[in-house]
Amino acid sequence: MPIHKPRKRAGGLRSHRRRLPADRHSSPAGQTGRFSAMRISMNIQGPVFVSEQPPVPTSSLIGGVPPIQSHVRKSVSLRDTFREHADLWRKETRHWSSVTKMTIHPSYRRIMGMGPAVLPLLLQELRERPDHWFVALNAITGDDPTPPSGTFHEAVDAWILWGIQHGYL
Amino acid sequence: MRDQELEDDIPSLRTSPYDVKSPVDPAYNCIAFAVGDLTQFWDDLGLPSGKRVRGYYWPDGALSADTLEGWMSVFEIHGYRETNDKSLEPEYEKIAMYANAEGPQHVARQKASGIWVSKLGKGVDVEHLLEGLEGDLYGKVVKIMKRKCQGGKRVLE
Repeated sequence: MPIHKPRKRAGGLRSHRRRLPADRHSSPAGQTGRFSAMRISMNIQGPVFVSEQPPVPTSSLIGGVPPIQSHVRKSVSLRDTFREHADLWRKETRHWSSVTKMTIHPSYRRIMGMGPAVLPLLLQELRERPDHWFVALNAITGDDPTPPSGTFHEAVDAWILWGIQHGYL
Repeated sequence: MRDQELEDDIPSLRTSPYDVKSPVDPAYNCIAFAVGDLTQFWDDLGLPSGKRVRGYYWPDGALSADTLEGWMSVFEIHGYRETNDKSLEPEYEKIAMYANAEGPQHVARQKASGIWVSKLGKGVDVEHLLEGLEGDLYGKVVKIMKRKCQGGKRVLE
């Protein structure tokens, strides 16, 4: 049986950069700067940074070099990432009946992976849009404040009370 | 009234009649609805009783919620037995299970009028034709079960 060996990663970091059209084709004359800007804006370690602006039009480049302001980037906040995944999860699981299936959805797993830092957002979400976040809350906190044989609504109430008592709400 | 989200997820409803009968409610699911429980979400989370996150219900003695046998065992506990006849028989209550390659996905029950009604996941209750929910999301109807009306009366309308 073949044994899978994990790849060694140089410097302990892994590039998430994807191949761009500019990698596969030579840049058209006069557009070198534009494609360079695209390359710079995408060649970032990790998925938590985005470029605020689209590639700079060729006409605005001076000597093929884009202005520094075009590369202002911001860190996507935990709130934004949570919102994105919570909304996607809710949309894609709205007609599912299996909690097991709901909780292995990639967005649900991503939110669980955010750890304790996401608790205020998760509990606020539960309060405003009650949904099946109990597994994530249990996984992150190791707690389960719902009474035995508690219903969905009793679980929602119990977790909101837990959030208030622990200073998250 | 047409429901765009519903038709996006279940495209066969674009050409099959249906009627939304409730607001969205994540508190109960299709299995709960089919046995007449609108207060609990029926699932075992793939775990035995006592090891599950609370807020869910699965009957003692029922097999795994991940399997068609598990779903069937829930309805056997409630007096249903397997049949091949999905037509309306006035002296019987019937349920129909949908499954795809991943396993059981949905269950509907037949009303006295012959129309089928079910709870769509965390969404709405809907009256529909059996084939109206078939497709990628729920798969196909793979199992029909029925139980005799008690004293000539249906347990559920």
